[in-house]
Amino acid sequence: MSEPGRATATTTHTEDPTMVTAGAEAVTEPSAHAVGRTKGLVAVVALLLLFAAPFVLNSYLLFVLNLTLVYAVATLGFNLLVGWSGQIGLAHAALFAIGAYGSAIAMEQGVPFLVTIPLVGLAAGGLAVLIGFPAIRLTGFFLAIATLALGMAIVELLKGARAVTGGGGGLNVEVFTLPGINGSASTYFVTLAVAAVAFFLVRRSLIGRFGRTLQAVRHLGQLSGSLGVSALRYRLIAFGLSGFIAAVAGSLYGQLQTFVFPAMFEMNLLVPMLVMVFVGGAGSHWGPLIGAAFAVVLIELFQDLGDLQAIAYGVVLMVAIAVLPGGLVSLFATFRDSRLVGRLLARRTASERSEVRA
Amino acid sequence: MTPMDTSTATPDSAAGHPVVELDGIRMSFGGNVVLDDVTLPVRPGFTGLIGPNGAGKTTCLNVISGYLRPDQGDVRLGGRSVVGGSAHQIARLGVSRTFQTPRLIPHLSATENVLTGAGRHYRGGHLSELFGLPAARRDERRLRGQARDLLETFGLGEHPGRAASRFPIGSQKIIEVARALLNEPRLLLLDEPAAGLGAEDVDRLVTGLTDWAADRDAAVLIIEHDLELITRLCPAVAVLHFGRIIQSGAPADVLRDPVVVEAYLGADFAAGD
Ligand SMILES: Nc1ncnc2c1ncn2[C@@H]1O[C@H](COP(=O)(O)OP(=O)(O)O)[C@@H](O)[C@H]1O
Ligand SMILES: [Mg+2]
Repeated sequence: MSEPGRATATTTHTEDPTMVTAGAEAVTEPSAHAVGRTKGLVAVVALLLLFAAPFVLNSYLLFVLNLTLVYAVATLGFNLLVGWSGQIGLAHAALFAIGAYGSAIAMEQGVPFLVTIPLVGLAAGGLAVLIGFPAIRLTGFFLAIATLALGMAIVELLKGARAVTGGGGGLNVEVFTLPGINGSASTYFVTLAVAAVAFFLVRRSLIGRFGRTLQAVRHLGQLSGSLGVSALRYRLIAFGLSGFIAAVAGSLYGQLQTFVFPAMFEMNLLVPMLVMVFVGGAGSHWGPLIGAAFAVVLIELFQDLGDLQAIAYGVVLMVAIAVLPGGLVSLFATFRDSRLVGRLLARRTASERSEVRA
Repeated sequence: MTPMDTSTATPDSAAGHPVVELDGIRMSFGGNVVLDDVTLPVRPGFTGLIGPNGAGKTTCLNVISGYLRPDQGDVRLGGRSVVGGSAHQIARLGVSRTFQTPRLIPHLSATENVLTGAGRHYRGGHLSELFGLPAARRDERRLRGQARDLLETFGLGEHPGRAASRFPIGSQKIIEVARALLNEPRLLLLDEPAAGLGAEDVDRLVTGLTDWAADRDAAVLIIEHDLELITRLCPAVAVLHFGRIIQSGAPADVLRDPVVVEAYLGADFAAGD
């Protein structure tokens, strides 16, 4: 009764929809290095295949793939906030908009596109930290409502600042092309390169000390103080990083769409973003990619629903959380931990273990 | 019922200056006085803190570790007042603790959980980790090794990679102790570490703790109902009753004291548990 935060201590974690079930790497520690190497190899091969996409896909499929990667990057940041730090901050679509608009506007002023990427990242990261200052002291419903309101205010500002943003009518985006490569392939290559770097860096810090610290904050709350961790500080860092990544993705989104308008960044984007996090698997490493692919398919399916879209996504979100609390990636973990696979791998782990110890 | 003069009652008061000193602590929650003029020096080695449920033992730990700010009195760590410091600042001064109910990250491995206790021993920052600099990798390797060693010390070295939630509750409590030790604390606060542990686990705990403490100057303050364990480990013990220290000294003397016996039995009957 007397321990701070004791009330949360007694809730079982399985009841928690944002429960992280996909920390696959961490759980299988003895062979972690070997598993890591295999996964690294898979990642490199996948990356090479992705680089070949513009040569084999038609322009529609290339667009869809590009969009998936853009959403995957956005979800990478969202997942950091929601899945890893455990904060349901809902300004993500607005911060994504900051990236799309900021990049387009900076380009109008003569800033090269590639330079606008880190610039909008820093701007949105800073803004996210400002949003975070009040938000990190809130939890659950209040956190969600407060950040949702701030996010909506940002989109309203975009509508209002007609002189710079074109208001509700939207804004043309100047398309950047790599020398000697046609427009859509060039946009795709930039997206792919940014996505690869983002996934690589985020994953590396999440499998290490930074990721552990975020999870300690998420699972222990203020009790993480006893580990020398300032929960508030890390919650704020999570806000800043997720904002940075959201805007980077937003700048890529602007390039892909070539035209942006405020209505793109409202509920019809925010709810699918949540779907991407939870369907992929909150707190996982590759969930954002899987979730984004899933959501892009949904967006195609739901595109004719008009105003019903957000409701349809909401239903998908609830079903996903109820049926698969660990997201789609948890299916892989379940498969891997199953007896059959366990038996197949049993012979290998012994040798790997001695290798790791050596 | 004035608090005893603990400095003369503690048999090995010569063992050094207190690592932490509670001095006249008063703590109340909305008019309910939970700690009343608590003065308690904790010297290097093991000190027991016992008393019936609701006596205020956990509250003492919360005051020391910075989760609660006392209404009155001072907490001095190595002679310096730490009242008003936040929990993470105090932890970084070398104060570790465990919780009555273990708080681990359920899906992370035992080793990874222990590693979360290493915070102040990383030499590089998060950026060096992000960019994969050698310093960060050295940190990780060194501390991971220490985490594994600690698990072995406590007889849990067999499954360093198993998810914390898949360990029985007794082992989870021990993993939490190992996590606290990776901070290399000068003051370790244990809140009922043996509650819910089987005899085998208690042995692991005691062996691990004594091994760890043997070549260190650290002070360990243990809240525990298992009086046999207290007698085994602690040369000094203090008894808290309704927020006051009613007796302190060597366990053999303290536990025979009629006032203490009365407090324990009386409270247990009253509480009905
Ligand atoms: N945060 C708090 N708010 C209100 N009352 C508290 C709080 N923490 C402890 N108490 C009360 O203080 C008393 C002592 O609690 P505690 O220190 O947990 O006792 P012990 O650990 O000795 O069993 C109890 O009556 C408890 O209800
Ligand atoms: Mg207690």
